[in-house]
Amino acid sequence: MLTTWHNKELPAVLEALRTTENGLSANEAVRRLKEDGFNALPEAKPDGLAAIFLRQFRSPLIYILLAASGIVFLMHEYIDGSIILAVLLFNAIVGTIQEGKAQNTLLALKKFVETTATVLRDGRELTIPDREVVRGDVLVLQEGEKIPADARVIATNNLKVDEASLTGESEPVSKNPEAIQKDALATPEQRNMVFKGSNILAGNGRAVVVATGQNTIIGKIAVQISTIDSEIPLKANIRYLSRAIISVVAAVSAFLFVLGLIRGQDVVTIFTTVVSLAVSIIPEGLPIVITLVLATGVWRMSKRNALIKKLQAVEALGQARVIAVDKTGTITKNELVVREVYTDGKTFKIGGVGYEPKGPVELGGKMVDAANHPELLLAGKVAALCAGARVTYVEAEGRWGVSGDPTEAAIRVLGEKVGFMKDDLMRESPFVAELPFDYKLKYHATVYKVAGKNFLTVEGAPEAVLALCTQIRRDGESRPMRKQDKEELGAVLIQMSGRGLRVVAGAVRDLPAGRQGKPSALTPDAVHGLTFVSFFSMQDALRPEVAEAMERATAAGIKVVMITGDHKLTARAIAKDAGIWKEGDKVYTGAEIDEMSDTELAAKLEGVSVFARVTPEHKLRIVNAYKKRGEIIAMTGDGVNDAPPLVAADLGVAMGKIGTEVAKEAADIILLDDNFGSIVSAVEEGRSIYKTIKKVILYLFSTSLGEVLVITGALLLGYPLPILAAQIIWLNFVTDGFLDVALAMEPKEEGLLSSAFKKPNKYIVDGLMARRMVFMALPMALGTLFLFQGYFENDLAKAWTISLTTLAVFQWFNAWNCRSESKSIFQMDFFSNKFLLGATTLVIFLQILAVYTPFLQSILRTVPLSLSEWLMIIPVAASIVVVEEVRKFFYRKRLDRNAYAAADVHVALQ
Amino acid sequence: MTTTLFLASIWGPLILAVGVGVFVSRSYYVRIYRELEKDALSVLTFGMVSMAAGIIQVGMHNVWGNLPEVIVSLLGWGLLIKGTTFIVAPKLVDMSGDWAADSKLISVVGGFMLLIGAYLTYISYFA
Repeated sequence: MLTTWHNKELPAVLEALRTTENGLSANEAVRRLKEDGFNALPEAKPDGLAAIFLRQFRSPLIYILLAASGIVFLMHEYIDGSIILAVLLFNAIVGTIQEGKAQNTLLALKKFVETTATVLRDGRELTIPDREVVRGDVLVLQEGEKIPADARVIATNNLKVDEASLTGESEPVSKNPEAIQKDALATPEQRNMVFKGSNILAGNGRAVVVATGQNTIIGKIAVQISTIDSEIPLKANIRYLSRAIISVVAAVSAFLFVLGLIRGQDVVTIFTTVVSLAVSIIPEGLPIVITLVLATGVWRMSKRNALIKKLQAVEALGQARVIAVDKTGTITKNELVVREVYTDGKTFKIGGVGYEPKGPVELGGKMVDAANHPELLLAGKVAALCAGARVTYVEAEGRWGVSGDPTEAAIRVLGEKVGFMKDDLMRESPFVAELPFDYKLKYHATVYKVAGKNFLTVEGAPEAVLALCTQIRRDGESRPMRKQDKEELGAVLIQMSGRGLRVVAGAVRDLPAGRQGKPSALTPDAVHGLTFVSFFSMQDALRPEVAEAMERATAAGIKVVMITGDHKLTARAIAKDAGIWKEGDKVYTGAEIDEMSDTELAAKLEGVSVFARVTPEHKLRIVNAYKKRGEIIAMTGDGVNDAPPLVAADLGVAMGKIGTEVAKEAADIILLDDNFGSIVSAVEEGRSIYKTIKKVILYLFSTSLGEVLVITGALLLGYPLPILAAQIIWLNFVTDGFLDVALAMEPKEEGLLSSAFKKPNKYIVDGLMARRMVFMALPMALGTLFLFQGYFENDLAKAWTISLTTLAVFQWFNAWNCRSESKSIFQMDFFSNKFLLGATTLVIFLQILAVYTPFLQSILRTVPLSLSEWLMIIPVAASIVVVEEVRKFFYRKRLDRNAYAAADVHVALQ
Repeated sequence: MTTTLFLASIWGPLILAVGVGVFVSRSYYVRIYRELEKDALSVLTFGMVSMAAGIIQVGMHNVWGNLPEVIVSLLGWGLLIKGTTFIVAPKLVDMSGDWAADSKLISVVGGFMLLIGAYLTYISYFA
């Protein structure tokens, strides 16, 4: 079978595919569909509920708890063993529900984007689902459609295709059926081929399908991305943390086992103690509460139009220190807008947003009325007559849309801004003939009957149009173009291009009557001796939210870099407007990146804010270079070629509207509104989630540490075990369970984007957290042991109840301590987290049940407490607030000192 | 236990009725609270009556042996603390009232009352 199609003549192509220009027969199509399979991209099969449920158990912490449960069962402690199993089961159910929900949302999104194709079968046109297109089918290509498979072009009529999603090139590509006599040819150069996933911007044609599904270029990339692996930071952090916990469990258990034996305790008691200890160190509530925090974040992000595919991705975005954004669609609207019109020696500035056909006109810094400037009116008329694209208001989306070439659309919109509606013009001046844009000629020409004369208008690349001009419009008249005129136009052109603007020239000519009797008679021979009218300089419109989002990103210490296939100057101009490029920043091109090794590239990334003329391979290298520097990088993308870097980045962000299926499949987050502002908001949400997770971990670990110290202290002091396994599970799961979930609902702190994000260490637990844990655990241990020692000799059951209740009350207070690392609990709004208020009330009620109801008394081995005992426990437990308040006081002092010092340095520098 | 059952037989139906009332006529309860906090004399009178009733009940019943005893004892202490707060710190009443009336918390409080009221009614009349 042929592997290259662009270099074969059409008969050879049709023969090799065993088809004709009239397409396949219906039977043959069915046979080929069976043989080759559906024309669909390979995608990971979604996991069933059972698989998701079982996945929840894949964690070292869960393995330990399962082992602990097994040991407890072997010791005939069936209630304790059942409690541990129930905890694990509950955790798995919550996780399954959350993951299942996220998966369903994604499947719904995929169904929404299914499309159809028009093919010839038995010589008749048929509309079929994309997935049923087979090799040898003849596609009928029409403007506005998406190409369903890779195909060799048979016939074209001004066919222009947007291949940006595949090649990164934003310029439309003209297609023609001629064979190209070169064996190896890059995709963008294969002008007689069309590729799956690209869009038809203008014209129509026919093409025979040469590859479907994963044999297409898109399909091959989709297969390639499945081999790249990357891990979200939180997942890695939890893994490290789990390993640390396991090491601590092993070390502490071994230490206590040996200590117990030395102290002459019997093996069963020591064993029970060790199991209790293992259970106490492991924060059972952690997996549930992290899932809940992330799920809440996912829900909040969905309200901000960001669909999170992987729960942990939401937190990872908060850690992002570099965001690499694609220019088109993210920074710019992918809508060209004419910004300047140079005509008759003057430069008019044109305002307006996107394709909306209105906007102010300025000359020399003052607003002017276009009607008073005949030279601008002529330029506008040329624009309206020559531009072929259509611009319409899309009611459903509430925006102006375009069909056809974006450059022509921009010129047409300019015509309307100046006052020329194409439909009205065509009623007055009937269409006569047209010479469509050709990539060899580099211009587009039309002829209209204006006031009885054939009026030729031409628009195209400045160098091509100027070469055909012999005259120029000056002071309302045409006169021969002189050397000075050419020099002046050349200077204007260089100045406009230098600012990154795309320039199109417009020219006119009155044709002698009878030169083109039929519309098809306009040939390139007739296009000469033109009168130069104007330069139209245009720019891809910036998205309006970019400026504010950039300010927020900069304040948050996030480096935003722009990646684009555009020319260096264009890229820099747009990046400057967007606030991404600043004086002194570097711009690297693909060619410059090619000259560097990966290590060199990583070393030279400092101060780079724009990457221009880059290919998909460069994007992947850029992502890897940032990762090599230890940065957490989020990468946005929409095209098929973006898929490998999206997967390789710590966090891939795909565009929901303009993004291809492959990009969405590869990404961790999909922005449904393609809005750069949504990424920055998502960063804020991610930081909030990270802070909340830290609060919850601090709370849970301080409890665990407190319990470990209580047990170890008792052992060292020769006391009996002060707290039993079932009681530990009650504290870790019931008391902590409600309080940590409520803590997870803590409202977002202020100023999350006001400073750079402190890079977390791999265990999440930083120095401050570790110190706070000790400050919290010490009063817990000392207070509990102090009250326990007063009772255990006379009434062990009462002593157990006292230590259980004391630890529970410590936790009630400590949850409130954990709300902030610096603010006093008395400075915070007591009512701002209603969940915490409710949860505190609930756990107080549950603790009363634990102490006073026979059922829970039998499980937890508790006895009733008197009021005087409660009045002794509560002040002892409240000591944890006093200790933490003292620490917070000194911490606030230190923060203030640092802030003053920073302000002094700032003033000194100024 | 006799005193506990006697007090539970009064508290139970009373709390149960208020619990049902919170759900059936929520806006009415919010209005009562709003009007009460506007009238300083009513707050003081309400505080004095509550405090006196609280002292009497705590004097009569301060037993912490099982769940019914604890609930009844807590109700007495609650009454005493509430009455004292109304007299000593009426501003705190304003604050908590605003918050409870504006949030969904009143439903949660109503739910708790239903639960406790039903439990006390059950043990005093049906157990």
